Amino acid sequence: MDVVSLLATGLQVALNPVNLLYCLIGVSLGTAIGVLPGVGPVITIALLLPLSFGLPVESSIILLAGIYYGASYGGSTTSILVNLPGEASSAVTCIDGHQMAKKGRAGAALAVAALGSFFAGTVGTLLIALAGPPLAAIAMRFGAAEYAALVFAALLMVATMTRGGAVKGIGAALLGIIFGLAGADVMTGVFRFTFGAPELRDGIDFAALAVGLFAIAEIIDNISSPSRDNSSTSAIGRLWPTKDDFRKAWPAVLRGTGIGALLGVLPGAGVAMSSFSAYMVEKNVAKEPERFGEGAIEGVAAPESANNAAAQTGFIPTLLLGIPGSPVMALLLGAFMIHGVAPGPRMMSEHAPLFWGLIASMWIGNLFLVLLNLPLIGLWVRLLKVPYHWLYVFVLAFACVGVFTMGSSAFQVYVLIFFGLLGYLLKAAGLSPALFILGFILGPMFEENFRRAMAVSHGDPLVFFQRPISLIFILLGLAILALATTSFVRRGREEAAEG
Amino acid sequence: MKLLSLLAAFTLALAGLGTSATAQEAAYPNDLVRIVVGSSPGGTADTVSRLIAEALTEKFGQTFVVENLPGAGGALAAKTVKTAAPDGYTIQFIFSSFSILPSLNPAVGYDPVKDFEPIAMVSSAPNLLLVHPSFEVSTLAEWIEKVKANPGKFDYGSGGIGYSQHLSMEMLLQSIDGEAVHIPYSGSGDLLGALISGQVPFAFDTLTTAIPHIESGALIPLATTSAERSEILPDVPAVGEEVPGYELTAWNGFVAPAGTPKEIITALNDAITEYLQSDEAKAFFEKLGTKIDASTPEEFKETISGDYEKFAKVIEKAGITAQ
Repeated sequence: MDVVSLLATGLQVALNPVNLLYCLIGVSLGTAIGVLPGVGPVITIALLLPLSFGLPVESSIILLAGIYYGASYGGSTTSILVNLPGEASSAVTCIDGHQMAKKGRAGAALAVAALGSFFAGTVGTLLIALAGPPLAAIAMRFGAAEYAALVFAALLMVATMTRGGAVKGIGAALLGIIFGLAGADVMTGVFRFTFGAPELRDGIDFAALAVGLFAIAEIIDNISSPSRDNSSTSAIGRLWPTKDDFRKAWPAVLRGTGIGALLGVLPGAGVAMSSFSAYMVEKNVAKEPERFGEGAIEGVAAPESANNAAAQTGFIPTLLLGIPGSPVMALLLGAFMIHGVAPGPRMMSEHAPLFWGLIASMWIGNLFLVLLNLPLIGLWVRLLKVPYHWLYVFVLAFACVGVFTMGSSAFQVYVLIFFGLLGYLLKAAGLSPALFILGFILGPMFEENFRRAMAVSHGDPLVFFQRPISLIFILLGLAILALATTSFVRRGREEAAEG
Repeated sequence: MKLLSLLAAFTLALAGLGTSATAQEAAYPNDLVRIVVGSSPGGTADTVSRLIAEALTEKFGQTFVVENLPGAGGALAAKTVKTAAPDGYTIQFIFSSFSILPSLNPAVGYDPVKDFEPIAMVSSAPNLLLVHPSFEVSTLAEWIEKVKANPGKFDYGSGGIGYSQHLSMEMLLQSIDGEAVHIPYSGSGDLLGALISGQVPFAFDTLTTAIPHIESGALIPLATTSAERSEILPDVPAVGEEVPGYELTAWNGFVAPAGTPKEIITALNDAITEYLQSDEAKAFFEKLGTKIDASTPEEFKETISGDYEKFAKVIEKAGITAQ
């Protein structure tokens, strides 16, 4: 079957009234949490993970994915209107978006953000559909050695790209790996780090860990930091951009989409980096760079297109290789696994309706988002007035009930509390919980494939260097490590010289 | 619910101390019945148990509710059910790993024969010995010859340590006195991928999952582990035709804690076997690719204890123990 007919099958799944409803719920919820600073897609998806359990797998993934890309729309609204980025990926939109709002052109900024996002989302969706089959065909030939090397490179890339530096990044990932090792060892069946608790024999429950690490820890963190003032909002003004706006924004949207689509595929680069890069590129190619920071429409169009394109193409490594590049993707991977679907090169053939249904739903979701965001913008802004302490109580109760019902066991609630506290401590120590969870997922994946490759080669470690794809990934990983180390050493020297 | 049943029991006790027990049994079930399943929602075991829970609810007019207690390959559920009151209000839906786990690891904390009262088997499916075309054998006899001629040279895959794919192969290797290196994958899906891409030349896997890949020519089926040939693949011989006495199937069914009254076991067995004869059940299992294998409690007991002894031997001989 060709891509068109496969997409048609996908549309059938996505247009099923129930799935359509979940898509709408997902993107609405995504927009809402995108608007609210401090409540991100990671928390929301983590919270809904136990609940989505009872849904059919298509509906549950469509819902969770909707939250994810919906959030990147919602984040731009508050950036523009209140100068408060709802999401990190929209932080850069504040610069010119809010300036536009101050000049009474908030409507145009919002419209350009939404339309640019829609265009980028469409391109991103198409890319997944087109790149999917050939990429899966290549990935099909990956053996244990290739997978081990790929995870090695991906993990290093993610860890070194983090804010706060490579050392802390790798540290957080390593901690995650240690926790990921708990449970029965795949190669021998021996129980590791279970401390005699039968509940830990299959490893630490992913949902309990994720909810604790993100939702609970975030609440503790938010409560302990002073409250924000959300009262000053700008008027929206005329919604439709002028001809001149379109003329200026159009190339920026194209460039932003390209940058976002490319960076989205790389593990670790993520949506935040793509919007930032797109903004920098716009500033550099602009004829009058001094307009940036004063309300240049390109400064809204490019990053907003970029973050949405990246949000979309981020699905490529997750769905096709089974390797998540960001914490949200790690959560979605977890959601697939809970439903007994293992993302990877075989997913497209074995779960064709699910795969193509998800792709089609993303495009429909993007359409919903334009409709939701433009006419209903006033509603979302009002959401900012919800008192946070109410929200927190709700989130806490929701987290505990959700985790408990998954295994009907209080043990998982203790796991939840444990990781809530650990998540808070990690943040306090400047270690990223996002990297912790990526380590938790990718570490065991690396170990398993490494040992399997060793078993297949009957103990010969050269297997990793004899296979070309594996060799390329290992060299890539080492290059990233070398780059990170030299910049770390250089910074250290500079600091020493200054000191 | 609990309170109600307590009240009911109390009233019955007042009505006549000597007859209360029989009165209560006659009324079974007069409260909600838990069906514990040792796997996550969404899987085959979960789907099958929910289907039967629905049928039992309809039959008895009391709710039969499925409770998922995943963990430790199903051992967590077995441990919970073992200590539940043997009153028919807690039963478990089990699958073949139930009689394998205790031999793999005594720490699982239950005895599959002594701690449980079998109710009925539900369905069963054989494994298939599958080879990648590059291995260049087309019959079981050729495979045996090639493996025996190259001890320890070839790899075989499984869905994990102690899984039925693993033990099927160990059992076969032990019977033919051959040697091959075990490469465990995580789950059947992973194993199939490795097998299709030729990373491992051969493995056992369930018939249902293998069918599409046999049809596409990606894998060649050499033999089935059931005593007789499968109706779905009548041209594929049984391993037992070449290696006498070899037999293994993956099954599932219901058990209750030891000491559950005989009347309750019989009532449940009757209801389950009756449902399994319905057209609805037949259509469902046909879609699933497994064979309905309704049994009496006694027959199911034999299957469980037979498997327990058989696998204990295989596991001991192969030296597979997890601690």
